Amino acid sequence: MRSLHPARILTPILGLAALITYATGCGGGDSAGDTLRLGVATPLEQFIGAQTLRGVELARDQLNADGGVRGRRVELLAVTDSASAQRAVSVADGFFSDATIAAVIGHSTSGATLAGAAIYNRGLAAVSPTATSPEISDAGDWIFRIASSDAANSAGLARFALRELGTRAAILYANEPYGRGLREGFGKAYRAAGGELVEEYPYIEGTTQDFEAYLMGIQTAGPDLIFIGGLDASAGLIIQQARELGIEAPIIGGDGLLGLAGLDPVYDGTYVGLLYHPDAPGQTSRQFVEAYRSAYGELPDHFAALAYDAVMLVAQAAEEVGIDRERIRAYLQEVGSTRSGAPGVGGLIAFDEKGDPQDKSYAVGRISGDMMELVSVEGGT
Amino acid sequence: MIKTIRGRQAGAFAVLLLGLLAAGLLGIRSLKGLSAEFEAGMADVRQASEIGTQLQRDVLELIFAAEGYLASGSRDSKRRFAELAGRTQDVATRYRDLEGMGAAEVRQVERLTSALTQLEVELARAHALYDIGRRTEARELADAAHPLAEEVASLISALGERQAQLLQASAIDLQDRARERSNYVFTIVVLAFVAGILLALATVRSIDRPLATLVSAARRLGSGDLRTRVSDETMPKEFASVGAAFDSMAGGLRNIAEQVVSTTSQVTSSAAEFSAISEQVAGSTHEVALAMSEISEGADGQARALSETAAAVVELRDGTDRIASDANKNRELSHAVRHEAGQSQESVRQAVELLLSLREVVHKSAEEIQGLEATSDRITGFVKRITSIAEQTHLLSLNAAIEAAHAGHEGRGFSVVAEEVRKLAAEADTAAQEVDETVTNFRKWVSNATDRMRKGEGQVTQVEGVARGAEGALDSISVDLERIARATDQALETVERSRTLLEQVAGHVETVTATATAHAARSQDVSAAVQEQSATTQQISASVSELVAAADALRSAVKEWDV
Repeated sequence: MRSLHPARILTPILGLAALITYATGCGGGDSAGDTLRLGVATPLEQFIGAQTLRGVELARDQLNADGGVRGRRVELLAVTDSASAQRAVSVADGFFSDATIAAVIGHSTSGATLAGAAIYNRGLAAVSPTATSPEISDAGDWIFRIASSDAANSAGLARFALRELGTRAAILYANEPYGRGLREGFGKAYRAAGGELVEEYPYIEGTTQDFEAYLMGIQTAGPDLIFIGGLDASAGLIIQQARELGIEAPIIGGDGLLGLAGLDPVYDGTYVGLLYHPDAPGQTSRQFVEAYRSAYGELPDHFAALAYDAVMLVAQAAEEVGIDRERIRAYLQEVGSTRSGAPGVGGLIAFDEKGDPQDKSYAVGRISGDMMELVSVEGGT
Repeated sequence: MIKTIRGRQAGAFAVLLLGLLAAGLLGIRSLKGLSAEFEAGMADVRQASEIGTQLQRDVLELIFAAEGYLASGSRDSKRRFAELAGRTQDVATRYRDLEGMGAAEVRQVERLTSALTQLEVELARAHALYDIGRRTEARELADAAHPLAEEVASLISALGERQAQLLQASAIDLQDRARERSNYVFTIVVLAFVAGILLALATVRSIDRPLATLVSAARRLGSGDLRTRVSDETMPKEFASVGAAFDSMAGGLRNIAEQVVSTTSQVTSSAAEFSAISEQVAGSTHEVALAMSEISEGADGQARALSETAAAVVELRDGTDRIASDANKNRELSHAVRHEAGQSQESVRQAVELLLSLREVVHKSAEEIQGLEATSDRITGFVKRITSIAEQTHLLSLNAAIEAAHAGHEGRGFSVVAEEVRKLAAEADTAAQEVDETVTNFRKWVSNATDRMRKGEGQVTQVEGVARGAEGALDSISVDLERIARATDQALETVERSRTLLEQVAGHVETVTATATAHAARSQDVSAAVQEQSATTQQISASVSELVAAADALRSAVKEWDV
């Protein structure tokens, strides 16, 4: 059993250091002509951005140690989008206008990725490591992502829940796009596989405080499990109130619940869907975990792991077809269809025609103190 | 100013057409633009109304399902409520994609979405309370949600109204622009129409005036005033050229009239002289005609005789041709025969040689057979000797037998020997006689063979004689044929020469015949011409009389002309 440190304390420090622009490999006087330059768009001043940066830099250092791409050094130009749609548009515009940028790793969040898509679709491939909104599927031909869509992930959770937890489920979901997406994905897959949804209750994220009526209703219905489609703040309240009422049914949720680990023993035993887990099997994954730990002294999370995968994938494309925006996009489009899939530390990467990863493995963890136990890996190859 | 009528007409039409074209183009463009704007406006309105309708329907159904569950506890209503929950917000967000949404409208949409979300949550909470038996609270919660439902309804209708207002504004705008465009079109059409009418009137007037001038001038000319002229610089080009043509026609007419008047009197006087001369000519022509008729007949006879001669010559030539071809065939035949004869001669000679060798063989065979006869003679001699020995032996054996008998018992063995000797003598005699017989037969055969051979030799000699005769005959035939061939060649040469000569003769005869025929024809022509001339001369006489009469009439007619 290994533990994941939220490491939120790092956020402000890294944020100050890397605010606005963080260009790596500076001072070497390298011209763009003999380097492979990749844009990195992520909220650098936030935890997500800091972790993402660790992943991309580890990938860069490994590539350069192995002789670079086509004999050229890999260089990263990291710019913060502050996880804001407005800021994301100007970051995307800057990358697009800079002819030395061959492709973009980013953005980390769904909203920023969707906002930047309009610019990237003019001719610059962007590979988002962790954006999971189903809307990104239709964001355009130049947009790819390493993490699978919420729709696919919630279906994976539904399969796990039905197999391991029981055939009668109650759903509590945040009545906004993320929560509704999870509710729909989970509900559809659960029903399709033979499960029964006994109750489905909406709440307002951050506003609804009293879940008593819902939980009593659920208690009456007596489901085998409770699925929470939402973020950790409301989920925490729900779990506390449920346990107070004496509801023992296991609780399961998407990666929005990740933040509950280590906060309170009442959350122990909660199942959480994970885009990545360091205990995931496979040699690539183990080597990455070792390298990451020796570089940063802790275990990688999914932000770092999937960002690492994104850089490695783009480098592979440039190695194969050359440093050219259109050729790199065409190569990415073929990964998993006319070309074989790319092995990643977060599972095999194979894009469908919308640039979404197909059959991506999806881990299910269980909160145990401040650790996240790996319980199951759903799907994937 | 345009000088021609065509130019003025074309100008008038061009002005009209340009005006109409401009009006049409402007009209079409305006219509297109307006219709596109209208389409776009309608599409927005349709979309807005679709969204509004669907939203209203969904919200109503949502509330209905929620209330239904609270009233009856029907699971169907609860399921329906769960199905609809979450869908209404998606429909509401579609408002954002509409054209002409200002910041105020976007805020309204946000408000609507949030109100829907709250409404759903409140109703769901009411359901949960209902499920756990707290029905009064559930009812109160649902009632408390009524203002939210009302807000949703009023926001939907506000958004709909806003769209309607936008539509109305754009419709008014559209109407204004349509009116403006139609005014332009109307003005252009009226201007073009007026310009066209003015030009048309000018054109009509520019035709009327010169036409009247031309008509009166033509009338004057008709009444005999050959000095009439119409030329006028102010006329349109088309009429100016008609006037110039009229003037030159009048001038021409006047010149002709003058010449006619002066010539008429000359004609009258010379016509009378001509009449007398033509009668004389008529008389002499008749005589010439008679003479020519005789000449023509003579020439015809000559031509006929020559034609016959030519036919005879041609026949002769054809005969010569036939002889030549026969002689040719002859020659070919004699060559063939000579060749045949040569081959026969060779065959005969070979046959004779064969016969000679045959005779030699037969002769030799005969000699050899004669040799056989001598041998048979020797055999006969030998047989005779054997026969005599056998007889003597027989006698000896008899004597021996007698002596043996005399000797008695002691002579018995000898008697046996004597008997054996006698038997031997008898056998030898028999053998000798057989040999003799055979020899006799052999002799007969040899004699026959010899005879046949002699006969054969004779026949061979006869055949040889015949063959020698044939060879000689063939030799003489060959010589004769050679002679015939030579004679034929000579004959052919002669025939060829004759033919050439005959052809020359035939050519001459044809030429002469053709000449004669031509002479005959020409004399006939001359004769016919003379006759014709004679008739013409008579006609001339008659015409001259008429001419004289006409000249008189003409003179009286031109007296009236003003030249």
